[in-house]
Amino acid sequence: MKIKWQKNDELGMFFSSAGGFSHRFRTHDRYMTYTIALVEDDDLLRANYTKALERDGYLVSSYAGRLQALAAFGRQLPDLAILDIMLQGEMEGGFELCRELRRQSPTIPIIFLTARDSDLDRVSGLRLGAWDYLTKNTTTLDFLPVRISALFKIVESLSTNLATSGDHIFETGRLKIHNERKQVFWQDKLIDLTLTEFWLLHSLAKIPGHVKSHDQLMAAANVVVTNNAITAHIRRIRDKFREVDPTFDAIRTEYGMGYRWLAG
Amino acid sequence: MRFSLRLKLTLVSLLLLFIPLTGFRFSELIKQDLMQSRKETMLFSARAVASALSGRTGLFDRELFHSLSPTRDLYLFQLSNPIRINGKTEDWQPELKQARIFGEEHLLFSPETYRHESLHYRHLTGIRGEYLFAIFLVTDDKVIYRQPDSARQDLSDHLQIGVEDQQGRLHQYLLTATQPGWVNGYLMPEDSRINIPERMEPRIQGMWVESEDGYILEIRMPIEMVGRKLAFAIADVDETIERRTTALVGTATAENGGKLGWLLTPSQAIEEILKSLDRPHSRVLIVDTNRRVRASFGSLAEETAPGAAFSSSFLTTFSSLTYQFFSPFYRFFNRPFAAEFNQAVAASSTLDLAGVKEALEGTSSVTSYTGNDGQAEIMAAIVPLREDKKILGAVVVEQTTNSILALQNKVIEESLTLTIIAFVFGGVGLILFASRLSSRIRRLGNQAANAISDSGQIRTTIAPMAARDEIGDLSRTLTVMLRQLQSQTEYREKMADNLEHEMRTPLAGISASLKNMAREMENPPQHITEYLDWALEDVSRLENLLTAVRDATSLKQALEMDFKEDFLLDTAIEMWFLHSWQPAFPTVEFKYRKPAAPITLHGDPARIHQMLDKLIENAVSFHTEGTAIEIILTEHNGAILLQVANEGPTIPKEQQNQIFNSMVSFGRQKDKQPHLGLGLYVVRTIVEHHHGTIAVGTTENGTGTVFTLTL
Repeated sequence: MKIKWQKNDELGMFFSSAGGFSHRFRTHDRYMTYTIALVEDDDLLRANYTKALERDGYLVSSYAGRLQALAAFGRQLPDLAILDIMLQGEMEGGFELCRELRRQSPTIPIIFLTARDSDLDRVSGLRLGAWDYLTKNTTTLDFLPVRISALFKIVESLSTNLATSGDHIFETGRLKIHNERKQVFWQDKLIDLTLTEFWLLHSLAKIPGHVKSHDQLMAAANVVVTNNAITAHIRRIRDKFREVDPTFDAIRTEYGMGYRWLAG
Repeated sequence: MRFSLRLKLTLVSLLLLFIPLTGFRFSELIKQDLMQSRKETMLFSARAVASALSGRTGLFDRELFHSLSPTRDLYLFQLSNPIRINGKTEDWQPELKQARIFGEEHLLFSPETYRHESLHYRHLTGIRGEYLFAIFLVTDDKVIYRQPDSARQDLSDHLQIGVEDQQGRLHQYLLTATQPGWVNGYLMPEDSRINIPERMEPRIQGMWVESEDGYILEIRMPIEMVGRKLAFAIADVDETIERRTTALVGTATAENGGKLGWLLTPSQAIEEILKSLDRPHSRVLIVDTNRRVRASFGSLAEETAPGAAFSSSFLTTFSSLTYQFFSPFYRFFNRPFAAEFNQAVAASSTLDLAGVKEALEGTSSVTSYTGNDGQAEIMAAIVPLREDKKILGAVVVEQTTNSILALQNKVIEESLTLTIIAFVFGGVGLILFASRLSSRIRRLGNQAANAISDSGQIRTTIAPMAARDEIGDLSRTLTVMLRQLQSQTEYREKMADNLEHEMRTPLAGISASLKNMAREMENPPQHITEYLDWALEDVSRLENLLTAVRDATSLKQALEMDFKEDFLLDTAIEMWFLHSWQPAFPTVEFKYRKPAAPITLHGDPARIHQMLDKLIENAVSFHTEGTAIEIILTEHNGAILLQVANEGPTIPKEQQNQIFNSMVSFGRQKDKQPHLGLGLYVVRTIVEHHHGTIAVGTTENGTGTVFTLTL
């Protein structure tokens, strides 16, 4: 039923100017009938995002609350879900939805949309299996389509044979990055990173020893956030590496100016 | 100067000193009262004695109270000591003090002008046992002795004795000496023209001794030789040729019996009467018109104070202990007196009291005098002694005031004891109370001071005291105040947070709408695109503002998750200058004074960077254009000191601690960046997270502001 994307683009392709996205996707309209579930309790924001995603060629089902969404998911699972965390007075309504979705399908990409950064820490702590999270801000719409298409690409690459995409495995020291599947291995152990985290790590590790400034990292991760948000992301990445290797110390802070992947 | 509550209350406890003052005043009143009543009692006693004596008809006649002559009458002392006839005066004490002086007024005969230095003497007559003794301390410029071969007794210095014997016959004896030593009297014939003595009288014995200014003559004669009248006279002879008598000084001569003076003795009869009128602890004296004490009875010995024995209750035991301990101190306040006389004050033969003269003129009085040796104050009530409206003498009733003084002293002692006890208990109680009070107040003060940090943050609340008193009320009030202040601060901080949260979604909505609009318009006109861009820019500005608020308000939680590491602060700052601040403020001149040696700091470089960003931003926005912003990094004794100084307006001292608080901003110049007064709050929070301190002050030259960080 699903028509897969015909082309597996390099990640770098998405770093072209934002204005190009819509046209790009529109050319693929005939192949794309991906359905996206958007659960957002703010009516106007929901309408705005729905319109924007539909314009990019997705089939969008939007829900204002957890129960409506849950009922719909019972009938038919979407290809991707964008969940607000706080839903109509339920502080963690989005998390519960995520848990339910993950129960029904272990592979469905889920993006959390939050109003505040601090929620991300909770997501990270809960390990709910979200593939990415974004903050609701004035730049969200600029990067949301990039992320969605990136996630779909991951889905596609996971369903194809690993051997065919062997070229895209990047290795440096104990770190191994599988570019298509957005999978990261440290000492051959899988590190479960979100998409944002993957992009950040990829940007850092691509040239070991090279300092990446906050701005460069932001661009690599397709976000416009504060330095502090970048810092928080880096911290979460470190934490995840330390879970498998408590001595992990490859990401170095460069005097608060940026970060560096330690070669070796 | 600071006075603690404790000191003040201790001073207040000095008011307890009023207790002894009251005691003194009270004892004085008691004393006066007792004195007054005693005066009255004594006057009454004296009058009683006087009237008792007046009632005895013929008593005064028998006891020779009538028609006394002060020059002629001889008073017979009861001598205290046995007298040895040796010319020495010691054994005559103490009566010798009352010896009468015989001089011009006793001159009986003088052919020439009387010269005092040629003859005068002191004389005392006394009785002891069966003998009558007399002593003459004669001052004579020329002592002439009798020629041994001469029978005549009157041709030298001599003593004439006139005696009326018990049968009423008159005898005259002469006493001379051929040389100092034993002498005897010679009976003179009744015919006074015959100068040759009839015979030697061996019963009259004497000792003639020369003294510095004359001679001392001491004589003794048996009492049975003497009747009721006696006279002495000393004759002075000054040359050895004619040996005429140049002066005769004495009470009378025997030549004319009628002029012999009465020999006055203490009256046994009156004393018997006085005995029957016995008045304890007092002495009654009867004085004749010559002020001679003619009878006395009683002694001034003090009665034992009643109630002297303390009962044995705790308080009195304590007070007696206190008394023993403080007795030297009491002596300072008490009037000293001897509790008891070892010997009664010797009865004076002549009572030289102020009141006696008035009494002899008919007025009663009470007088006080200090007894011999200052041993005791003696009160004397003196009333005239009358017979048939004629004053014959005076009754003197004497009593020491010792018992009153004892009472007064006792009152003083007890009030002092009470005071000391009150001081000890009351003072200790007050001091304890004061300590408790001041410690409670101090504790409350410390709590209040600790509750709010120097920078105005509320750190803890005060645990309200349970005490139901003013301090408890104060603590509860303070607790309520602090809670209100805290909830206001929390509200203020939360409000920023809530506002940020609530505004973020609509802003995202506006921005999404604008972007949708931009993308869906086919070939929009230039100006519409511009409007959209402007709108987006404003939305983004609003969002930056919100982000700043959020960063500040969630900073503390965020800091908890920071990753601290050791890094070179001096190099880092250099980097930040190069890559961050100089590019951000290209028109501003920065001066960075590096330390001599590299400085390693353990902390989160990103946070330190963020913190210094805020400080630099702050310095830039306040600096006077054209001046440099200076950053000085030093290390001293392990403490890292970082100063950011700029020329420009200074911060008033009273606001210097305030500026690090959230949402506080002073005199910010107009500036493109949004300011909510969070920058320095962020700085302080980060500094404190790194266990450092930050202070703001004025630069040395007073024209700028300097922030000093200690890490």
